[in-house]
Amino acid sequence: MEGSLNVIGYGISVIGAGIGVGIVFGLGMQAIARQPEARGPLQTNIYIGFALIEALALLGFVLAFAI
Amino acid sequence: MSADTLNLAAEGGGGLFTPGGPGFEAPSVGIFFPSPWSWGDYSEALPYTSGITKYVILLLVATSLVVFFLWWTSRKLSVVPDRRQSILELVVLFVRDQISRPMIGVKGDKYLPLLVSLFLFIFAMNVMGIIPFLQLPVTSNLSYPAGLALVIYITFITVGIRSQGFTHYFKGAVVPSGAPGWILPLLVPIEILSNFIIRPATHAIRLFATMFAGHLLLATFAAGGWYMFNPAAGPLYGTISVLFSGSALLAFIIFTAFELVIMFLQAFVFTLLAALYIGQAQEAH
Amino acid sequence: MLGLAAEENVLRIHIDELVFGLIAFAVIFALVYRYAVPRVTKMLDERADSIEGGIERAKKAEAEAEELRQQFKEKLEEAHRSYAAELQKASEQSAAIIAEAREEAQAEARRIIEAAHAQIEADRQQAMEQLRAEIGALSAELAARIVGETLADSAAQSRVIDRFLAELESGSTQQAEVR
Repeated sequence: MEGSLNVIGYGISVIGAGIGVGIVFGLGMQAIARQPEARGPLQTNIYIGFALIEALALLGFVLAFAI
Repeated sequence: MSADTLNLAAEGGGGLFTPGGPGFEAPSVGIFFPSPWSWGDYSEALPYTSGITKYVILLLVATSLVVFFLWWTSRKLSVVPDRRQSILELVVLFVRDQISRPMIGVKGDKYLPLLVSLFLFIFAMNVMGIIPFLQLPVTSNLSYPAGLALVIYITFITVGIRSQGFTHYFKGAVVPSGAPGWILPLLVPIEILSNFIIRPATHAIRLFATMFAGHLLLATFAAGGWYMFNPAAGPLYGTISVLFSGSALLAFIIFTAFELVIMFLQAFVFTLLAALYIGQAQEAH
Repeated sequence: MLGLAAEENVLRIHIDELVFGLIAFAVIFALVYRYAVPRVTKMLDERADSIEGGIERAKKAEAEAEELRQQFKEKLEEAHRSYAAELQKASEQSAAIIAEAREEAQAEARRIIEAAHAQIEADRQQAMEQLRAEIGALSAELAARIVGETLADSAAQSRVIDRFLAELESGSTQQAEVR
């Protein structure tokens, strides 16, 4: 059995990002459901939050290959 | 898949159920390091260069694609739009109403050309990843997102200095308002790090990493499907292997469609964050 | 591996690729900045203008059409009114003509009848005059005859009367013929 320990580290790093992305979209949907007229700004903010959190997971992914 | 990936996949092709055959070798990050063509190989002579590689050619293709798109859609503009013109208007209005206006406001319309070209350029470079025979997203090479992030970095700092003044802008960006004085020695380095170092770095790496990961995923599906395709292994094993590789093909197609969505989303997010940074720099904190 | 360079760190930034990317972006940005977006923006403004102008024009045309419709309606009503008036006038006229004609005809008829009556009356008068004169003469003659001839017997008497009557008869026929 061979492989890279880095990938396991990536898997661990993704857990946090996954939880974060789930929270962002879940609460975003809830907010849109409560205030459908605020959909535009909410959606934009959801995607910003998603992108910021996703960056952490991607950093983990890239560092798994880079280091 | 790209020729390189096909070569890579061919090494393991038909390996399943072949006694003593080659083991499966997943595509490595090597697919992101195409070697330069011999006529354009100056990478040995100059440090930190790659030579004329597939990335440069695909960059050229993507750029000419965008230039052609712009020329073709804005050739004859009229008040009553035809189909070509509607596409361009769709793009411009999408960038204006979804990115520029919510982030910068109406006065951000002067950054519309920057954002539109950013969006089109990134999307074209991303889409290179799913065009048959090209199939390598240009943005999966960090050099290109880094260049664009650098442009945005310089832009938002310039905008901040010009609209707020040098000291006011840097003070606003570095010193959080309302923080007690004793914590500032701790906060200021963090703010500097996050606003002026991590921000452009993640801006570039986000785009790069998504494309990198997506392409690696597709390459893995293709290589695995090719590895498992072994109808010569006898009636039973042959059928099983064909079924396996068929499902891999199906997944490959589905993930290709998914990749298209991701490509669009990443171009959108990159442009959105660029607009966000510019908007933050423009307004006083 | 075939056709692959020696592996580097994936987080590499090659200066030449970065410069190529910047040049490509500069080309696209120049095109968008000088050519595409200003034209599209200008065209969108024009369209907004023309739509607003179109709405105004449509409103104006609508008002005009309304005015025209009102005019037509008035004209139509006027035509209806004048038609009705004409009709009434004509019917009155025709009634008058009929009444006049009837009156005339009645008058004529009356006149004719009156004339006839007058004629008849005149004739009667004349006949009466004549008859009176003749009856007088006849009575005188009869009386003379009765008195002149001695009436011996009743036979002779009746003969005389018969003769007289016969004469009278023939005379009256003669007289009638004369008349």
